[in-house]
Amino acid sequence: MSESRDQVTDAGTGSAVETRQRADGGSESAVSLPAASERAAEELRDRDIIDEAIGVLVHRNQCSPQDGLGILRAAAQQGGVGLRTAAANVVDAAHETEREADDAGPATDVDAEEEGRMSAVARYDILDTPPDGAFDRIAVLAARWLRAPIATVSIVDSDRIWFKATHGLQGVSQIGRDPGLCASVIQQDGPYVVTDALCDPVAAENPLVRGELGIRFYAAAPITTADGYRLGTVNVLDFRPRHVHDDELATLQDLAALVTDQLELRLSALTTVRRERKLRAQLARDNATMEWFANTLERTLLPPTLPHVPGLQLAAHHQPADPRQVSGDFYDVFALDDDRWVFMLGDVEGHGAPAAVVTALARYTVRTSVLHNPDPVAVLEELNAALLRDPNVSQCCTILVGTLCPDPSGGFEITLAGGGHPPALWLHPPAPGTHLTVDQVWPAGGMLVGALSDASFSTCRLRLDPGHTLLLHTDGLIEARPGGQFFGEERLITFLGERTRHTPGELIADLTDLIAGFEPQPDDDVALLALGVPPR
Amino acid sequence: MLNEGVDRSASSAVVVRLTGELDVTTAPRALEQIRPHLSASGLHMLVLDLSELTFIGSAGLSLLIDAQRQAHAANIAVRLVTGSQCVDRALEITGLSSEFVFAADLESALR
Repeated sequence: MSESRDQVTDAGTGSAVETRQRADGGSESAVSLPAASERAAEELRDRDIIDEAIGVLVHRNQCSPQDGLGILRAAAQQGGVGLRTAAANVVDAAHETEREADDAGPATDVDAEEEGRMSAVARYDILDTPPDGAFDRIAVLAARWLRAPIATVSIVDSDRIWFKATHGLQGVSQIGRDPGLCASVIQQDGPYVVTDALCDPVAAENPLVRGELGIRFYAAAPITTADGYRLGTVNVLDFRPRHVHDDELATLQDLAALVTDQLELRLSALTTVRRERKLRAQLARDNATMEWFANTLERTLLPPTLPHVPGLQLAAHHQPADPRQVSGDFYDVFALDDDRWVFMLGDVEGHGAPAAVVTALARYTVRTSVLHNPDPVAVLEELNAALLRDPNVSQCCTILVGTLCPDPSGGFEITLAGGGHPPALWLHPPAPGTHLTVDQVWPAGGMLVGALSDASFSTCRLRLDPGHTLLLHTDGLIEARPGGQFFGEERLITFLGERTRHTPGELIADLTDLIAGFEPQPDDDVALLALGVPPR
Repeated sequence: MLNEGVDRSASSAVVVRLTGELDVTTAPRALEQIRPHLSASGLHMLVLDLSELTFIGSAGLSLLIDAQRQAHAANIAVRLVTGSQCVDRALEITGLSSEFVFAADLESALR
C-alpha cells in the first residue's frame, strides 16, 4: 500500500495543511474508520468472555492465542453454537476443573503422570479439531476387521473422552471420563478387553453400559506416543458380549500405532505451518519497519511544510514508487532573502539508499550554493561539480531550479534553470485570439546533471501573472503506463488544459486522483510542485 | 525488455543494437555487452543502434555517455543511430544531443 504526502499552503490564509492520503482512494477509507471502530466497540462486549476462553485454551494446550481461537472456533462449529457460547462453555468447564482440583488435595505420583500425559495431549493439538478423513478411515477399519457395530478413535482429556473419529455412533462427540472403558485403558499398557460389561463391576457402572446404548463388549488398544504417554484409544464396541482373538487385538494395536503416526505427521505439518506463519508475520513487521525508515528519511529530504510566500499559492505531492524505499524525487521551496524565493524539483536516478544519498546532496548543495550565488545556472554548475566530485555518487540527476521575484504590479518574475529535466508546464487563461493555454517552459540545452564535467546549463524567464500556474513534475507521471500505454506529455497537457483556472491545491488534488486511478500504479517515484498566483 | 545483439561486424566497425527499454535495470547489462568490443584490436567505430528502443531513462543516457567516454579513450569513434521518437526527445530534454554524432540509418553510420 503506497502512502503519499500532500502539501498545500494557501497564500490567503497562510495555513498549512498536511494530509496523508493513500494512493488507492484515500478519503473513502478515512470516512469508514469511525464506523469500523463502532462495530469494534460492540464486539468488545463479547470479546471479554472470548478472551478468557482463549486464555484457558492457551494455558491448557500450551499454544498461541491464535491457535486458541482456532480451537474455540472448531468447538463452536462442532457444537453448532456461536463463538460466545462456546467460550462460555470453556470458561465454565475450566472453573469447574479448578474447583475439583481444589478439592482433590495434595498432588501424587498419579497426578504427575497425568500432568505429563495431558501436556502430551496438548502437544498434538488434536482436541476439538474438525473431522479428518485419515482418522475416520481408521475407525471404519477397526469396526470392519473386528466385525463390531461401533468403533471410535478417542482422546482422553482431563475431564472427558473426546472422539476424533467415530463409526456407528451418531451425534456423540464426547462422553464423560467415567471408569471402566477408555478411561481405564490409558491406565495400563497393552490392549484392554471387556468381554461382558455386565460381569465387570467397574464397567457395569459406565454410562455407555448402563445407559440406553447398552454396551456389553469393549476392546481397545491405547494410542501411545514415542515418549510413552497414552493419549487415548482405538476401540470397538458391541451390544452383545463376545470374545476377541489375539490377532484381532494385534490389529487394534496396529491401528492405534497408525493413529500415533498420523498424529506425529500432523504435528510436524502444524509446526511447519506455524513456523511459516511466524516468518510471514516477521516479514510483515520488517516491511513495516522499512516503510517507517523510508518515511522518516523522506521527511528529512522533503520540506515538512511548504513555506508561506505572500501573493503565491503552493501545493505539492510526493509519491514513492515503493513505500519501503526512499524516493529519488525531491522538491523544495525556501526564502532566498526578504522578497526572493527559490524553488526546485528534481529526480535522482533510481530509488532507495543510493538515491537518497544523492537526493540529500543535491538538495543541500542547491540550498547552500544559491545563497552564495543566486544565479540558477551557477547553482546547477555547482551541483554538477558536486555530484562528479563525490566518489560515492555514480548517479545523475535531472532538476529544475527557479527564482521567484515578486513584481510590484502583482505576479512574479521567474528565472528557471534546467538540468535535463522534463519541461515545466505553464497554465494560463487563454489570451484573446489564442487557443494555447498550457505551454511547456523549458530552458533549452540544460544538460543532465552529474554526467559530464563540461555540462552546460541555461535559463529561461517567464512572468507568472495573476491567474497563472506553473507545474513542475518528475517523469514518474508521464512515464506511468496506465493500461499499458505511456501516459505521456500530450495527455498531461490535455488534462491540465481542462483545468487552467484551478488553484494549485485543486490542480494537485486532481492529479493525485488521476495517478491513484492508474492501473498499474507508476513504477517510478512521482513528485509534483505547483505554484500559482491567485487571480485578481 | 532489453535485447542487445551484434548485428554485423564490418572490417573495423561494430554495431550494437539495443531494443526494448533502456532503464536503470537494463543499462548495466547493456554496458557489459558493449564493453568487450571497446578492447577489440583494430576497431575504429562503435555504432549504437537505438532505433528500436521504446524507452530510455536517465540511466540509459548515462550509459551512452559512459560508453562514448570509454570508446574515445580507446580511440574508437561512436555514432548513434536514432529514429526512435522517445530517444530523440530524451536526448533533447537532457541537452545531450550536442554530445553525440548521429547517423540517420545504419548504412550512413557505417559509411
